[in-house]
Amino acid sequence: MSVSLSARVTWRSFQAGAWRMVLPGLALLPFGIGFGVAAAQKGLSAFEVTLMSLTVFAGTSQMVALDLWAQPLPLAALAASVFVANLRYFVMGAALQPHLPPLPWYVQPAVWHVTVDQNWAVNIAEYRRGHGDLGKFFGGGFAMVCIWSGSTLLGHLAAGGVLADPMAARRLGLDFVGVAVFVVVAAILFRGRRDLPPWAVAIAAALAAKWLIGGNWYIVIGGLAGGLFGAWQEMRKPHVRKS
Amino acid sequence: MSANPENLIAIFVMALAAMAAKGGGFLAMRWLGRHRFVMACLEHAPGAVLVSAAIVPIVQVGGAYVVGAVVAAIVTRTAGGFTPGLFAAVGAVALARWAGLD
Repeated sequence: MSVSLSARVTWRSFQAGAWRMVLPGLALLPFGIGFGVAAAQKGLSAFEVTLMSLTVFAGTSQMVALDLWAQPLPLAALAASVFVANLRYFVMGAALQPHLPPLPWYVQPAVWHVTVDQNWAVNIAEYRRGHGDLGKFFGGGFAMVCIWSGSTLLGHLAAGGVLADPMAARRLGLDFVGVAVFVVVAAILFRGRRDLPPWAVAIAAALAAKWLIGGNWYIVIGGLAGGLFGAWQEMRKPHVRKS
Repeated sequence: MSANPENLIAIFVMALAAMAAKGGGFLAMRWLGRHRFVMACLEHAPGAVLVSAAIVPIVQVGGAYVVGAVVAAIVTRTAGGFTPGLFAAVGAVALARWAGLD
């Protein structure tokens, strides 16, 4: 195993990493603005929206959490849904870890925090070619978190205008933004027929959980059911080929 | 600048959960091998979470949301991206409501 990621962080590499992630980061603007509008409709303050974006820094899971956001706040369901919605980062981290040199314990959480889709995707290719640079990784993450948090704040501030009127927002279809994000990201992730059975199981489990259990556990139950079924499906493949 | 203590606790819990998911892969790979079942489960879980999160509000609201979801999926796949899909979805819901769907 070759260690290709330098543990040394320089200002120059940090800047280079940040600049190259500006354009991919701008693609987050509509999502971030949509999240800010949706969060404002749920009653979160501008400070809370920005703090959430800075500390959680995981758009889809923040949107999932917003779906559960009702007083009293279901902390266990929020934690479980954020964890499950972010499981892809578990896989990304697992792919990145073999390239990392030994890092001090206090640096590791910062590496985990900036492991987000675009930053990971841009950097992992370099790590695999042996040109990985921790400074670029941190710089890219810094740019992304600034753009993401800024766009959610912008959305929240925009919601203070015409969008603050629930009926106007509804007429404009803005109440659908949160759900639309799930559908659009799912459409992007869709890999064809192999995804259909696990997704069907997830949908059935989510609907059953909503109607049988109630509350907002349907996301976690559906996600786990679909994930487990997909894994079971993958494990069966060799047996199918043999028969 | 206002902050509800209960909201702050929830945000803190969410941040910990996100960090656990992000850091889990790094830590797990340090001590564990790549077990096929676990990797397959992790590969399918994100999509399953997304469709689970979407399906309940779509079924509950029906009408305009169904139109919006169909348009979102089609435009995202054909126009190839997040932004066109999102705008098309919101526009489709607005048009559906203007046409009388709830």
